[in-house]
Amino acid sequence: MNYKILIVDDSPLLRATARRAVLQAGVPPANVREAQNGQEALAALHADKADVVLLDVNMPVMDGFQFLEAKQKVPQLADVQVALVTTEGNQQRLARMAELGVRHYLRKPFEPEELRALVATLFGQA
Amino acid sequence: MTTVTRDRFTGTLQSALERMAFVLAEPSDTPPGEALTHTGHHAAIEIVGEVGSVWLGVSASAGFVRELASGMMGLDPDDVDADEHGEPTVGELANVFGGELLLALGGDRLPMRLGLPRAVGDEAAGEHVDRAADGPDGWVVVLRSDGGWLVVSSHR
Repeated sequence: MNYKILIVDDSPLLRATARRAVLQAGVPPANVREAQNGQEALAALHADKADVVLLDVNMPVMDGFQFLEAKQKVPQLADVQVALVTTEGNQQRLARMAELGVRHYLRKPFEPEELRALVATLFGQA
Repeated sequence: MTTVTRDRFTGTLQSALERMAFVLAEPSDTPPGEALTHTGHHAAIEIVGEVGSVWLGVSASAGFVRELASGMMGLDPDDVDADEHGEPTVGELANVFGGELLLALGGDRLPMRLGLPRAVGDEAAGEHVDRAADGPDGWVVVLRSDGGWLVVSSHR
């Protein structure tokens, strides 16, 4: 499975948890990168585009909402799939993020199996 | 803003811990101040908006940190360094519990937002737990698991 994935979360614990799920899905370790906020994520995508981004919303520097707005302005990143993995539960904000291209959403707290299932779904569509 | 009681939110906390890391934790009658002496890792998060603010604090013992972090990362608890993972673990718990509390307070109906989790020192954690325990709009939940202690508190 040769997909490239970018995990964006300010929590190192969540990044480690997500990395584990992605590796269990068969992604080579070299294809998994991490970013601590939206700004780092944009820089990472400009340097080397990913197929899938797992995105937290509540982050310092540049949050997930701001990341999505910035990403939308870059045509080269239009085919990068984004899935939210977040505590965000505000339906208005989620609807706005859906307008910005988000098609998948996993709300924290989640069971590890739910994250593995999300990753499998994303790879089936990437 | 809906009032969230200790009894109502205890089940939410237990469910979140089980979902995140298969950690089974039970309420303890240990006084909050005494339970806090067993912990050494503290984080807090605020829910803020035009109608006021709500503070939520999380304190965990080293054993609880090892249990939760190992459950999330799929490691043996003995392989988790509590000093290294303490702050990220209680920070993520504050983030998750804060999201649950925001929903319980009113969710979409409330013009309030969840802030960012931050580390808190021993003294500040103690002051906030006292305020939560003594105040009319506060509550403290003490949970015990196989690994150790978790103290969650909130006040306006």
